Amino acid sequence: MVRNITQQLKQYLVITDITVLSEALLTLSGLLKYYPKVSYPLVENQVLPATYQLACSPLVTGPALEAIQQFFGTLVEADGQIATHVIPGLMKNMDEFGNDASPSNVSKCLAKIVSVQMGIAAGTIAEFTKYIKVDLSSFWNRNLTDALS
Amino acid sequence: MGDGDEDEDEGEEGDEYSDDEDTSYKTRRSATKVLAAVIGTRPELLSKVYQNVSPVLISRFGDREESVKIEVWATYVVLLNQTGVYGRGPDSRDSEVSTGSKRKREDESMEVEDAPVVLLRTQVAALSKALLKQLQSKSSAASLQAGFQLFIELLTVLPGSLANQASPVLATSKEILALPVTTNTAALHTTVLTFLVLFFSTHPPASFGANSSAITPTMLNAVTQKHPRIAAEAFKVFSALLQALKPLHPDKGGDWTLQVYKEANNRLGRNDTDAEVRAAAEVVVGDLWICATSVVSAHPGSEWDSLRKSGRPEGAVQVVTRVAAAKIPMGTAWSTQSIEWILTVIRKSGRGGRVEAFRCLDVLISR
Repeated sequence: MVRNITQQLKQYLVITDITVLSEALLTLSGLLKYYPKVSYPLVENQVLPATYQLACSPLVTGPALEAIQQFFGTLVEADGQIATHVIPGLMKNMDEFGNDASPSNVSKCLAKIVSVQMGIAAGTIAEFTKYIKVDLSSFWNRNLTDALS
Repeated sequence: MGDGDEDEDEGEEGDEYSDDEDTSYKTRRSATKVLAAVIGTRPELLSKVYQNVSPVLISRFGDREESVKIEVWATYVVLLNQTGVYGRGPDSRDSEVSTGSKRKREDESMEVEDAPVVLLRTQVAALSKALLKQLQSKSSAASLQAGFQLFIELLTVLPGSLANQASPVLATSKEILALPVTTNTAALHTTVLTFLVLFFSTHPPASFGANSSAITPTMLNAVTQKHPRIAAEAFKVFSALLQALKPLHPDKGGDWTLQVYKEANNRLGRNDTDAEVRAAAEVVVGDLWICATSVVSAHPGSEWDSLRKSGRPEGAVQVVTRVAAAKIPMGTAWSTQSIEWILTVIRKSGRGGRVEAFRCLDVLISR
């Protein structure tokens, strides 16, 4: 039954109908929550690649974005090991998207994953701090320039 | 008043006096219409109307002339409607009645001593007593319908306000529902049943507990009626009754619940069932499984097959969602079949129905 549901829901993981997309993601989250052992391998193989792409799309907003965050949350809760694979997976897809990617959406999904799996928090924060440092330095540079002028 | 009016009024039935000698009823009827116009257009006077006019209107509930009586009841309906809209807060008495301001909405939750709704509450006993006196089965269908329409408006404004009169109210309803269904009385039956839906859903079971069993045979008769609106409303009455009396079991309401279940099954299994009746039967099946689980589970019918085969799955989706959400022990087979069916509904339905179908699937998964 779980296989049938997953198989059918897979086809709704597109942004042509954002409402159905949200509902499908929430249902998949439900499967991962209530039947983790059965649904996890199916979701990992059949659904995860599509959700990476959805997370990078700037067209995914509002309830759909919340649904995809919830999906990643329940996914890493169902299997703690996958968190360390999902983060690079998301980053790789974002790089492939290039300028069309939505770093904001991806960062929200990463935040959800880290908040569920706190064990990977330190490593993830260390990895991403360098980007923030760059931003901070440019921030300080800009402000100092403004102050001196 | 011209001759034409007199001719028109002379034809009315049930006059026990001569119109030629006494035409004062026309004055009373016109005066009532003026009052209705004032009440309908001056909501700031509602409290004064309740203090000065309402008792007079109630005293005229039994006017000897039927057309005046119906006009008085219609005027009281206007008063109740206005009370429902403006009568809950102090602002309703001020001049800012038409502003619809946020402040007014906030004040609606507060009740002051002379608020119209409070004044109405003090007059409910007199009102219902006077009205019930007029609602005899020998009265005309139009008159009875107008009377029950007034009761419906009363319960809309003051839910549960007929708790003390439950016994005579249900006895009168039963008496009227026992009248044969004809073209003239069909609308009356529907109105009485609509009133009963409101009555059972707004009153605590303790207020009508014993009396409800006396009226159920009459309602069971209504459920089997050919007239679709009567049958549909009767199913809705049973839905309200089930919700009010839950949980029901074989030795408490088991007799009528089983009969409703059988009739709902019968209606759902037939292809010629009216859409409104089918919708009401679907809802009652859900209510039966939720509120009288032990009764219906002992007599498994084909209702789920009928529901799943329905051409319009919206109602069936709601019923399955409700039953699944209520955590009724339905068995694995039911859950599996329901999931298979809902997946088909998701695949086939348009945009509107898909969201509800997804919600249903979520609930089924979480069982």
